[in-house]
Amino acid sequence: MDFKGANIGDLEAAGTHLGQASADCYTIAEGIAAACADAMAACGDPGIDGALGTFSGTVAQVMSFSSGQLDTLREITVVQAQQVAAATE
Amino acid sequence: MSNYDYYYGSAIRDTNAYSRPDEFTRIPGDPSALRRAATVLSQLADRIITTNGTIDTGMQTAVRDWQSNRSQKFVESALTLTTATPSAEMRLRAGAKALNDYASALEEAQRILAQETIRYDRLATERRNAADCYEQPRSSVTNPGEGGSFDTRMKRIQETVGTVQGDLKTKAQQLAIELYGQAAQCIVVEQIPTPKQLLQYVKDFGSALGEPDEVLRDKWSHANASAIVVDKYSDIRSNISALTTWKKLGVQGKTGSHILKNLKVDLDAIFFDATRTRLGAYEEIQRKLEEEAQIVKQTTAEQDGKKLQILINDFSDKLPRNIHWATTNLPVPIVGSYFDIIDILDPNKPITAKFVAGLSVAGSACEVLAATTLVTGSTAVVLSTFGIGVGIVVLGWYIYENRDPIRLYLDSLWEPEQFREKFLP
Repeated sequence: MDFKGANIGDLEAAGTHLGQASADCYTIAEGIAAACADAMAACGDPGIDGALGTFSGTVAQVMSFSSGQLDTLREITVVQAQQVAAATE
Repeated sequence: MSNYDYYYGSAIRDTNAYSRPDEFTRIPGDPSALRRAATVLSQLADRIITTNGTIDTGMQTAVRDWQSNRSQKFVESALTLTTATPSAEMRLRAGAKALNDYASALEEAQRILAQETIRYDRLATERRNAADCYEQPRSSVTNPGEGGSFDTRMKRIQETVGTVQGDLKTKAQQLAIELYGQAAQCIVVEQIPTPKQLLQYVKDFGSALGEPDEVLRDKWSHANASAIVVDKYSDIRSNISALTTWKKLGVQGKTGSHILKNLKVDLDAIFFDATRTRLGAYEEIQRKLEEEAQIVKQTTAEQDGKKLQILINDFSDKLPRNIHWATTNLPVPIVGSYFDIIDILDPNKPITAKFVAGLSVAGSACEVLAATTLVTGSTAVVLSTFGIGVGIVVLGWYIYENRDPIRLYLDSLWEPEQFREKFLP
C-alpha cells in the first residue's frame, strides 16, 4: 500500500468537505423540486406542468446523483484515513 | 324578432344580450409566485457555485501531500463524477429566466384582459342604455381616436382579448419547450455514467485501494442505489441514440416513447399515424427532431459544443440519410402491412379497425401477387404466386391463432433493456 505523504488530518478534513458538499447537493435537489412545485401551482397552464415536472425531475436528480457520488468519495477518504492510521500504528 | 324589435324593443334592455364572450375568461396564474420560484432557482444556482468550491477544497485537501498515483486517480474520478453540477447551475439559470419571462407575459396578459374587460363592460352598459345601437359611444367623444359604433368597438375589444389569450398560449408553449430543452441537455450533454460504468468504477477503485470486502460491498450497494437513479437517464439517452438509425427507428414505438413523453414531442402518435400517412410520418419525425436540435444548438454554451455536435449529427445528419434510405428502398405496401398487422393484434382496437386493417393487408398481398404475375406472365409463376397466396392465408391464420404470444414478442422487442442489448453498443 502506498501512503507516501498521505496525511490523516487532511483526509479527515477532505471527508468533512465532501460530506458537506454532498449534503448541499441533496438540499439543492430538494429545493429545485420544491421551487418547481410552487411554479406549477402558480403557472395556471396545465401545458407547462409536464415541462416543469421534467425539468425539475432531471435537474434535481442530477444534483441528487452528484450527492451520491460525493458520498462515495467521502467514504473512500474516510476508509483511506483509517488505513493510513492502521499502517502508521 | 325583427331588427327593429332587437334594437329598439325589449332585447336592448336584456343584460344577457351583451354578456361577455368566451375570450374574456379569466387568465389563471400568479405572476408573483412564479417570480418567487424563479428567484429560488437562481439562488440554488448560486449555491451550486459555492458547493463546487467546497468540492474543490475537499479534493485538494485530500491529495495535498499524498504522493501516489492513487491520489491522482482519486482526483480524476471525482472530476469525472462531479461535472454534472456546473451544468445543473446553467440549467437552473436558464429555467429561472424562462419562468421570469413567462411571469411578465402572464402579468401583461392579465393586465390587458382586466383593462379590456372594463372597457367592454362599459360599452355594453352604454349600449344597453342607448336608444340606438349606432349612437356614438360616449368614450368616442372623450377619446376621438376611438371611433366606431358600439358593435364595432366591442368586436375590436373582443379581438384584442382573443389575441392576448392566443399570444399567452404561445408563450406557455415556448416556456415548455425551453424547459424540456434544458432537461434534455442536462441528460445528453452531461454524459452521466451508465450504471454499468458506475459499478465498475466502484469495483476498480475499491480494489485499487485494497479495501476490505465488507467496505467494498457497502460501496457497491451505495453505487447500485445511485445506479437506479441514473438508469432513467441511461434509458432516455439510449432512446435518443435509438432514434438515429432506420433499423432502430423501425422498432422505436414504445421504446422511443420514453423520450417522446419526456420531451412532450408526440412522435409516438405521429409514428403510429403512419398507418394512414405511411412514410410521410418519418418526414414529420425528422422535422420534429431537427426542431429539437435547433433548440439545443441555440441554448448551449460553447464549452459543451463538442458533445452537443454528436447529438446534432445524430438528429440532423444520420436520421435524414436513414429516412432517405427507407423512403427510397422500402415498398410502401410492406411498411403499411407492418402497421396493419400491429393493428390486428392490438386487443384495444375495435373489431371494425381490425377488419379494415385485415382488408388492407390482404390488399397489399394482392398488389404484390398481381405485380409479380403481370411482370413475368409465366404459368409457373402464376402457380407459384397462388402457392404464395395460400401461404399468406396460412400465415394469417397462424398469426391469428398465436396473436397473444406474437404481441408479447413484439412488446419484448420494445422493452428498453432488451432493445439496448439488441441494438446498442
